[in-house]
Amino acid sequence: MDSPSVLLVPSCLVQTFLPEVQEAAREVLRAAQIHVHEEDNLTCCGQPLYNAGLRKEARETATAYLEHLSRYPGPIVFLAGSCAAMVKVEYPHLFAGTPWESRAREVAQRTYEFSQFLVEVVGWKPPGLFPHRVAYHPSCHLRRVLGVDQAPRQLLDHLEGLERAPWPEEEVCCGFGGIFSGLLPELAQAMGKRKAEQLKSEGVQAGVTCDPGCLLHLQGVLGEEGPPMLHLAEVLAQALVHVRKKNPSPPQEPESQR
Amino acid sequence: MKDWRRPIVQALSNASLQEALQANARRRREAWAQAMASLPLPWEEARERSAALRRWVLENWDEHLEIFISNVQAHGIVVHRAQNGEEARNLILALAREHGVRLAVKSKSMLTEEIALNEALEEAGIQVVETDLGEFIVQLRGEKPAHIITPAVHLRRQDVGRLFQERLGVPYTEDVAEMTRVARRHLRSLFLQADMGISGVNFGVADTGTLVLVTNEGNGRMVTTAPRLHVAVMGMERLVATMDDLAWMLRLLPRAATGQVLTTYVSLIHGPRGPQDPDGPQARHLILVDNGRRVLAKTPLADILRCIRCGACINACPVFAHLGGHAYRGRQGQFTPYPGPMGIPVSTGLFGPAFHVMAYLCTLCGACAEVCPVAIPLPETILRVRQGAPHGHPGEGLPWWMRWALKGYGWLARHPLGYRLARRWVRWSTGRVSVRSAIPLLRGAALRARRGRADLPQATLPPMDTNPPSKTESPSQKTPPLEAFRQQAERVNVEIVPTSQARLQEAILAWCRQRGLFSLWTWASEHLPAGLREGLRKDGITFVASPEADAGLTGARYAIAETGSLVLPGGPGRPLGASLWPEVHLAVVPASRVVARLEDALTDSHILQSPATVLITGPSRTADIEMTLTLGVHGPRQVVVFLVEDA
Repeated sequence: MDSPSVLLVPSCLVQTFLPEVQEAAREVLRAAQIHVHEEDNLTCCGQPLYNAGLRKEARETATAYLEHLSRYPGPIVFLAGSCAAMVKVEYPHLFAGTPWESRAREVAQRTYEFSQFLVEVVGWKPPGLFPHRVAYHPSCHLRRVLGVDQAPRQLLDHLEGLERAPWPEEEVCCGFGGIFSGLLPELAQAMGKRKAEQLKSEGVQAGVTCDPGCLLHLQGVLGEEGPPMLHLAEVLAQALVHVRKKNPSPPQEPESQR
Repeated sequence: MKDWRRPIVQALSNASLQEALQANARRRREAWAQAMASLPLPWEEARERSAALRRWVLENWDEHLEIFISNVQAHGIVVHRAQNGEEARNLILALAREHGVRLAVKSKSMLTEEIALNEALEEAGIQVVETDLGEFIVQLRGEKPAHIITPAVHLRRQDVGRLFQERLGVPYTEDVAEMTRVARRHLRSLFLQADMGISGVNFGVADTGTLVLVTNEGNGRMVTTAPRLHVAVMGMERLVATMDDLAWMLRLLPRAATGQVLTTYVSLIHGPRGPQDPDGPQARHLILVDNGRRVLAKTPLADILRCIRCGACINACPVFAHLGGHAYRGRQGQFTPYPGPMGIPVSTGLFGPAFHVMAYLCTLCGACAEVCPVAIPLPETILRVRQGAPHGHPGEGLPWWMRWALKGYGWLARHPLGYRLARRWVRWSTGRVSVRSAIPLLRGAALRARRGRADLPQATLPPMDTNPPSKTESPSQKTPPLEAFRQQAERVNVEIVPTSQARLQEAILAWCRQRGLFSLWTWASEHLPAGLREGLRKDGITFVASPEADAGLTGARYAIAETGSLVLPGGPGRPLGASLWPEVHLAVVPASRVVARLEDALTDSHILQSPATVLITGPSRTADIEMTLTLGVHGPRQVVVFLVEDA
């Protein structure tokens, strides 16, 4: 059986500010024996416009995006929980009653967030060592809109040496909120600060999340001295480094899936 | 824009406000979770059911309203309908004039804040006193409530101590119990002097014409019992169809609002004082207020009409936890009594386009929807406000620069080449200039750009502290009602004295003597076990039908196992005051009157015929100052049940 392939969608924030996350995700998917496709002409799913209430502009932007996505036949994997939620949950509403509705539904059906895909579709158990104490931040749209909560934790808990510390009041929003933090930066900063203090109080070495927005926002609040914020893909990729060190020549023929 | 942002920046730099709000958010979240664990149904099912009940009423609104009004009128309550705030104010002013009112006491009602009633009454020369402890404090400060349930949520005990010292002339104290005593003393005489009581209405029951008031302190009972005129002001959407539906809603509202299984007092009001009744107002009026609600029902914000004003969404909101209620305002600083997630659609829907700005005080995180007991899809509703509902254009409330920046961004996103170039430029510039940006995300991006793939320090691992999830005990469904009642009553601070018919008198006497209580305000002999009153008199107890009595002695029509409540219908020989004014309330409850569920008691015809019935769940309480639980704010400090096990 051929190994499955996916379209990897990094999201705007990853593409703009976190190319290393995209790279890490590529490595992880390959380690899970998934072929990775990437698409150069993808821009923005329209979420900032949609969440601002500019529905018409959001739909115009989303139409081009949807068209690109629909050309790819397989699973679509997002590196951002909120973008995945936009396509999987909001697109069917956004396009309801338009000629694009059925296409939106069809694409939504095969759209996944990164951790969700690895756990729910592939059933992958990540190998490797990550001897650090980390705390996970369940980002709001991932947990509440997409309903993905356990998958990232399961992946983390599989890694050897990783200690998962509690993040007190983990379910409370970090204050990013897309345009919210651009409109009211003082408020967003105050909200992030409370979360950052709670993270520091646990003596962790890194915070982990599946959303680049929350990641960058919290990193900005934590500053240079605070622990780094990491994308789940970075943690999984880092753990793989140790696997490669242990087996310098990986098998040429990957074992077939299931 | 400036006006809109000023209170936000002010709130953020107010350290004592931040402390108060943080404590509120944490405690309320915990209380909510604990309370919901004791629901008889899984949470999602439970709230779907209450949502369905409210939806049903509102889908058949006219019909239910008509039934409700005619049933209320049949009880002898005069019903008035007000299209808007001005009509409502004029109706109430006319009533006040007609009855020669000089002093009005109020229990907490956000609707009266909505229609600016206090200002109107004061302008007409009528003194208005807020009697809910939180609202009393806020009124003394010349402020507006900062929260729909806990109006003084923004204040710390020191603020209240200083306020009472300045305004009431009492020595400064930081002891919350002492402050509560001060308020009790101060307000008590006002209750007795007042000519008019003004209250809100939590629910109106269409089938039975019942006005339901859900309170904790006892001031709501005093306002609706002591003055000779009672005016209830009700939003016309606050209906449920039947008493069974009410019982269900009563399971959700207090749990969601304060984490209580039931609030201390639930008043079921049917009519004014009858010719034989020992207490109650001579006249009751109901003002049914529309003020934009009917129009709202036809807009994309209609879901918000289901709201039962529990405040759970406000307590869950991370933005509110940094701002408090006073920062939620209209574009030019206009006031709204409704802050937080529910406040966004309600304020915009009822008060107009100036309030669209409030929709951006939200990160769309969804914490509000998770805790809503009537399953209102709040983030979607807030998004609809951003989209312009009900009377604006898309993006109404956004500053112009943000709207144009977003439109520009959208244009760019439809041009892949331009988008790629722009992205590259942003990345290039961020690494250089954004380190000190006000926007945290840009600072984070700049840090990342410098750091590259983050290295983790290879530190030795500190031991992990695990937090074992605490188990909340839920009362077993199988516990027999009598035992369940005992357990639940003790949980709400009721003292249970088990006794028998033969030893009842002795037990009451011993209890009173031990505590030096000699005068009782009691129900009439025919409503107490035979011979009890006469026996007590022989043993030296005196009977005084007044608030000065050492204790009140009553029977109870029912005791409810589910909530630990006593059900006391008023009426001839059963003064409501006996269970309200004295510091101690003694109740004689035959074991045979213990029922399992709220429904078993609420559907009883006795209750429906009584001018006012009260469900009492523990002693009078408040948590209005720093959420410190204090017993005996207006009503009894102590409730004792003499449980007659062989009766």
